[in-house]
Amino acid sequence: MTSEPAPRSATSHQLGMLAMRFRRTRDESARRAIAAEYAREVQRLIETGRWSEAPAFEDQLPDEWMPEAFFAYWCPDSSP
Amino acid sequence: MTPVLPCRPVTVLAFAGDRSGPFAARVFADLRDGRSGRGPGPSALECLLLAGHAGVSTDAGAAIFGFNPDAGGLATWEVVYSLRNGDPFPGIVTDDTGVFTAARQHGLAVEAFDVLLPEPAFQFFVAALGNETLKSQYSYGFPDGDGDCNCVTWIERLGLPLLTGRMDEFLALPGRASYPSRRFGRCL
Repeated sequence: MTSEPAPRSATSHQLGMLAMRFRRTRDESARRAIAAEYAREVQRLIETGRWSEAPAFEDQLPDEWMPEAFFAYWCPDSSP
Repeated sequence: MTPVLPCRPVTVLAFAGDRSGPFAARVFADLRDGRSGRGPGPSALECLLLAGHAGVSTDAGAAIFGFNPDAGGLATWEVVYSLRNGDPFPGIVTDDTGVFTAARQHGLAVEAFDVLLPEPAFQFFVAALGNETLKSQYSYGFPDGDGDCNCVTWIERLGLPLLTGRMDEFLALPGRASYPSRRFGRCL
Protein backbone atom coordinates (compact mmCIF):
# COMPACT_ATOMS: atom_id res chain seq x y z
CA MET A 1 0.00 0.00 0.00
CA THR A 2 1.33 3.42 -0.89
CA SER A 3 0.32 6.63 0.78
CA GLU A 4 -0.50 9.65 -1.35
CA PRO A 5 1.41 12.81 -0.55
CA ALA A 6 -0.73 15.42 1.15
CA PRO A 7 -2.02 18.11 -1.25
CA ARG A 8 0.19 21.17 -1.46
CA SER A 9 -2.52 23.53 -0.29
CA ALA A 10 -3.17 21.46 2.82
CA THR A 11 0.45 21.28 3.89
CA SER A 12 1.36 24.88 3.23
CA HIS A 13 -1.85 26.40 4.49
CA GLN A 14 -0.97 26.73 8.16
CA LEU A 15 2.62 27.78 7.44
CA GLY A 16 1.33 30.40 5.01
CA MET A 17 -1.06 31.84 7.57
CA LEU A 18 1.70 32.04 10.17
CA ALA A 19 4.12 33.66 7.71
CA MET A 20 1.49 36.29 6.88
CA ARG A 21 0.91 37.00 10.56
CA PHE A 22 4.67 37.28 11.06
CA ARG A 23 5.05 39.86 8.27
CA ARG A 24 2.10 41.86 9.54
CA THR A 25 3.86 42.73 12.79
CA ARG A 26 7.26 44.17 13.63
CA ASP A 27 6.81 43.52 17.34
CA GLU A 28 9.66 41.25 18.43
CA SER A 29 7.72 39.36 21.09
CA ALA A 30 4.78 38.78 18.75
CA ARG A 31 7.18 37.51 16.10
CA ARG A 32 8.81 35.17 18.64
CA ALA A 33 5.44 33.68 19.51
CA ILE A 34 4.55 33.20 15.84
CA ALA A 35 7.95 31.61 15.14
CA ALA A 36 7.38 29.15 17.99
CA GLU A 37 4.02 28.21 16.52
CA TYR A 38 5.66 27.88 13.11
CA ALA A 39 8.30 25.53 14.56
CA ARG A 40 5.57 23.34 16.06
CA GLU A 41 3.81 23.16 12.69
CA VAL A 42 7.07 22.25 10.93
CA GLN A 43 7.62 19.48 13.47
CA ARG A 44 4.07 18.23 12.95
CA LEU A 45 4.54 18.15 9.17
CA ILE A 46 7.83 16.29 9.50
CA GLU A 47 6.20 13.73 11.75
CA THR A 48 3.46 13.03 9.20
CA GLY A 49 6.17 11.45 7.03
CA ARG A 50 4.32 12.78 3.98
CA TRP A 51 5.74 16.28 3.64
CA SER A 52 6.81 16.16 0.01
CA GLU A 53 6.34 19.76 -1.18
CA ALA A 54 8.50 22.47 0.32
CA PRO A 55 6.63 25.61 1.34
CA ALA A 56 6.75 28.59 -1.02
CA PHE A 57 9.02 31.49 -0.11
CA GLU A 58 5.99 33.51 0.98
CA ASP A 59 5.08 30.70 3.37
CA GLN A 60 8.47 30.91 5.08
CA LEU A 61 9.99 33.15 7.75
CA PRO A 62 13.37 34.86 7.40
CA ASP A 63 16.21 32.35 7.90
CA GLU A 64 17.07 33.17 11.50
CA TRP A 65 13.43 32.70 12.50
CA MET A 66 13.09 29.34 10.76
CA PRO A 67 13.43 26.25 12.95
CA GLU A 68 16.61 24.26 12.37
CA ALA A 69 14.42 21.17 11.90
CA PHE A 70 13.18 22.73 8.66
CA PHE A 71 16.67 22.85 7.17
CA ALA A 72 17.57 19.43 8.59
CA TYR A 73 14.56 18.04 6.76
CA TRP A 74 14.75 19.92 3.44
CA CYS A 75 18.49 20.42 2.97
CA PRO A 76 20.28 18.13 5.42
CA ASP A 77 23.67 18.71 3.79
CA SER A 78 23.64 22.48 4.24
CA SER A 79 25.36 24.25 7.12
CA PRO A 80 23.73 26.96 9.22
CA MET B 1 -26.48 51.14 -34.95
CA THR B 2 -22.94 50.78 -33.66
CA PRO B 3 -21.26 47.57 -34.87
CA VAL B 4 -19.99 45.20 -32.20
CA LEU B 5 -16.25 44.82 -32.59
CA PRO B 6 -14.34 41.58 -32.02
CA CYS B 7 -12.99 40.93 -28.54
CA ARG B 8 -9.27 41.27 -27.86
CA PRO B 9 -7.66 38.72 -25.55
CA VAL B 10 -5.26 39.39 -22.73
CA THR B 11 -3.59 36.12 -21.78
CA VAL B 12 -2.80 35.44 -18.13
CA LEU B 13 -0.05 32.88 -17.66
CA ALA B 14 1.21 31.26 -14.48
CA PHE B 15 3.18 28.30 -13.28
CA ALA B 16 3.51 26.73 -9.86
CA GLY B 17 7.10 26.41 -8.71
CA ASP B 18 9.09 23.21 -8.42
CA ARG B 19 9.08 22.61 -4.68
CA SER B 20 10.06 18.97 -4.89
CA GLY B 21 12.78 17.68 -2.61
CA PRO B 22 15.96 17.79 -4.70
CA PHE B 23 15.41 21.17 -6.36
CA ALA B 24 14.13 22.85 -3.19
CA ALA B 25 17.03 21.37 -1.21
CA ARG B 26 19.55 22.87 -3.61
CA VAL B 27 17.94 26.34 -3.65
CA PHE B 28 17.45 26.42 0.14
CA ALA B 29 21.08 25.35 0.65
CA ASP B 30 22.28 27.99 -1.84
CA LEU B 31 20.25 30.66 -0.03
CA ARG B 32 21.92 29.69 3.24
CA ASP B 33 25.34 29.68 1.59
CA GLY B 34 24.69 33.15 0.22
CA ARG B 35 23.68 34.49 3.58
CA SER B 36 26.68 32.99 5.35
CA GLY B 37 29.13 34.08 2.65
CA ARG B 38 29.98 30.55 1.57
CA GLY B 39 28.73 31.14 -1.96
CA PRO B 40 26.91 33.56 -4.23
CA GLY B 41 23.49 32.11 -3.49
CA PRO B 42 20.91 31.04 -6.07
CA SER B 43 20.12 33.00 -9.22
CA ALA B 44 16.91 34.99 -9.60
CA LEU B 45 15.73 32.47 -12.21
CA GLU B 46 16.27 29.52 -9.85
CA CYS B 47 14.24 31.32 -7.20
CA LEU B 48 11.43 31.98 -9.67
CA LEU B 49 11.43 28.32 -10.73
CA LEU B 50 10.99 27.42 -7.08
CA ALA B 51 8.51 30.17 -6.27
CA GLY B 52 6.37 30.09 -9.41
CA HIS B 53 5.45 33.18 -11.39
CA ALA B 54 2.58 34.91 -13.17
CA GLY B 55 2.48 37.30 -16.08
CA VAL B 56 0.33 38.77 -18.84
CA SER B 57 0.54 38.90 -22.60
CA THR B 58 -1.31 40.97 -25.16
CA ASP B 59 0.04 39.00 -28.15
CA ALA B 60 -0.97 35.42 -27.37
CA GLY B 61 2.09 34.69 -25.28
CA ALA B 62 4.76 35.89 -27.70
CA ALA B 63 5.90 38.37 -25.04
CA ILE B 64 4.99 37.81 -21.39
CA PHE B 65 5.37 40.62 -18.89
CA GLY B 66 5.70 40.04 -15.17
CA PHE B 67 6.01 42.06 -12.00
CA ASN B 68 9.17 41.58 -9.96
CA PRO B 69 11.08 43.21 -7.11
CA ASP B 70 13.76 45.62 -8.28
CA ALA B 71 16.75 44.22 -6.43
CA GLY B 72 18.80 47.36 -6.98
CA GLY B 73 22.08 45.46 -6.94
CA LEU B 74 21.28 43.23 -3.98
CA ALA B 75 21.98 39.52 -4.28
CA THR B 76 18.96 37.31 -4.79
CA TRP B 77 19.35 35.72 -1.37
CA GLU B 78 19.12 39.18 0.22
CA VAL B 79 15.94 39.93 -1.70
CA VAL B 80 14.31 36.65 -0.67
CA TYR B 81 15.36 37.23 2.92
CA SER B 82 13.90 40.75 3.01
CA LEU B 83 10.65 39.72 1.34
CA ARG B 84 10.17 36.98 3.94
CA ASN B 85 10.74 39.65 6.57
CA GLY B 86 7.89 41.71 5.09
CA ASP B 87 10.04 44.39 3.47
CA PRO B 88 8.89 46.05 0.24
CA PHE B 89 10.96 46.58 -2.90
CA PRO B 90 10.28 48.95 -5.76
CA GLY B 91 8.35 47.02 -8.37
CA ILE B 92 9.66 46.53 -11.88
CA VAL B 93 7.86 45.11 -14.89
CA THR B 94 10.04 43.06 -17.22
CA ASP B 95 9.72 40.89 -20.29
CA ASP B 96 9.71 37.52 -18.54
CA THR B 97 9.11 35.40 -21.63
CA GLY B 98 12.42 33.65 -20.93
CA VAL B 99 11.29 32.76 -17.40
CA PHE B 100 8.23 30.96 -18.76
CA THR B 101 10.35 29.20 -21.39
CA ALA B 102 12.72 28.09 -18.64
CA ALA B 103 9.77 26.85 -16.58
CA ARG B 104 8.60 24.67 -19.46
CA GLN B 105 12.14 23.40 -20.00
CA HIS B 106 12.25 22.58 -16.28
CA GLY B 107 9.15 20.42 -16.76
CA LEU B 108 6.68 22.79 -15.11
CA ALA B 109 3.19 23.18 -16.51
CA VAL B 110 2.45 26.73 -17.61
CA GLU B 111 -1.26 27.43 -17.20
CA ALA B 112 -2.94 30.09 -19.30
CA PHE B 113 -6.34 31.62 -19.82
CA ASP B 114 -7.66 34.52 -21.86
CA VAL B 115 -9.54 37.51 -20.55
CA LEU B 116 -11.56 38.81 -23.49
CA LEU B 117 -12.03 42.56 -23.60
CA PRO B 118 -13.79 45.00 -25.94
CA GLU B 119 -11.38 47.12 -27.95
CA PRO B 120 -11.48 50.25 -25.72
CA ALA B 121 -10.85 48.22 -22.56
CA PHE B 122 -8.07 46.29 -24.32
CA GLN B 123 -6.39 49.52 -25.40
CA PHE B 124 -6.75 50.87 -21.87
CA PHE B 125 -5.04 47.73 -20.56
CA VAL B 126 -2.25 47.98 -23.17
CA ALA B 127 -1.65 51.57 -22.12
CA ALA B 128 -1.60 50.67 -18.42
CA LEU B 129 0.84 47.84 -19.10
CA GLY B 130 3.02 50.15 -21.17
CA ASN B 131 3.15 52.70 -18.37
CA GLU B 132 4.04 49.97 -15.90
CA THR B 133 6.92 48.74 -18.06
CA LEU B 134 8.32 52.27 -18.12
CA LYS B 135 8.05 52.67 -14.36
CA SER B 136 5.80 50.71 -12.07
CA GLN B 137 3.76 52.70 -9.60
CA TYR B 138 3.61 49.73 -7.22
CA SER B 139 6.00 48.24 -4.71
CA TYR B 140 6.59 44.51 -4.55
CA GLY B 141 6.02 42.54 -1.39
CA PHE B 142 4.91 39.17 -0.09
CA PRO B 143 1.32 38.80 1.17
CA ASP B 144 0.74 40.85 4.31
CA GLY B 145 4.16 42.44 3.98
CA ASP B 146 4.69 46.15 3.45
CA GLY B 147 4.59 46.02 -0.38
CA ASP B 148 1.58 46.80 -2.55
CA CYS B 149 1.36 43.51 -4.43
CA ASN B 150 3.23 40.55 -5.86
CA CYS B 151 3.23 39.10 -9.37
CA VAL B 152 -0.33 37.76 -9.02
CA THR B 153 -2.02 40.67 -7.30
CA TRP B 154 -0.24 43.14 -9.60
CA ILE B 155 -2.43 41.77 -12.40
CA GLU B 156 -5.46 42.89 -10.41
CA ARG B 157 -3.87 46.32 -9.97
CA LEU B 158 -3.83 46.57 -13.75
CA GLY B 159 -7.59 46.22 -13.67
CA LEU B 160 -7.70 42.77 -15.23
CA PRO B 161 -10.48 40.63 -13.75
CA LEU B 162 -9.19 37.22 -12.70
CA LEU B 163 -12.52 35.73 -11.66
CA THR B 164 -15.37 34.81 -13.97
CA GLY B 165 -17.98 36.32 -11.67
CA ARG B 166 -19.57 32.98 -10.85
CA MET B 167 -20.59 33.15 -7.20
CA ASP B 168 -19.70 29.49 -6.61
CA GLU B 169 -16.18 30.11 -7.91
CA PHE B 170 -15.75 33.13 -5.66
CA LEU B 171 -17.09 31.46 -2.54
CA ALA B 172 -15.01 28.33 -3.20
CA LEU B 173 -11.74 30.27 -3.15
CA PRO B 174 -9.74 28.58 -0.39
CA GLY B 175 -8.21 31.84 0.74
CA ARG B 176 -11.57 33.50 1.32
CA ALA B 177 -12.21 31.69 4.59
CA SER B 178 -8.60 30.88 5.49
CA TYR B 179 -7.35 34.46 5.32
CA PRO B 180 -10.18 36.55 6.77
CA SER B 181 -8.17 39.72 6.22
CA ARG B 182 -5.32 40.53 3.89
CA ARG B 183 -3.17 43.63 3.70
CA PHE B 184 -1.88 45.35 0.56
CA GLY B 185 0.50 48.18 1.36
CA ARG B 186 2.11 49.51 4.51
CA CYS B 187 -0.35 50.44 7.24
CA LEU B 188 -1.01 49.67 10.90
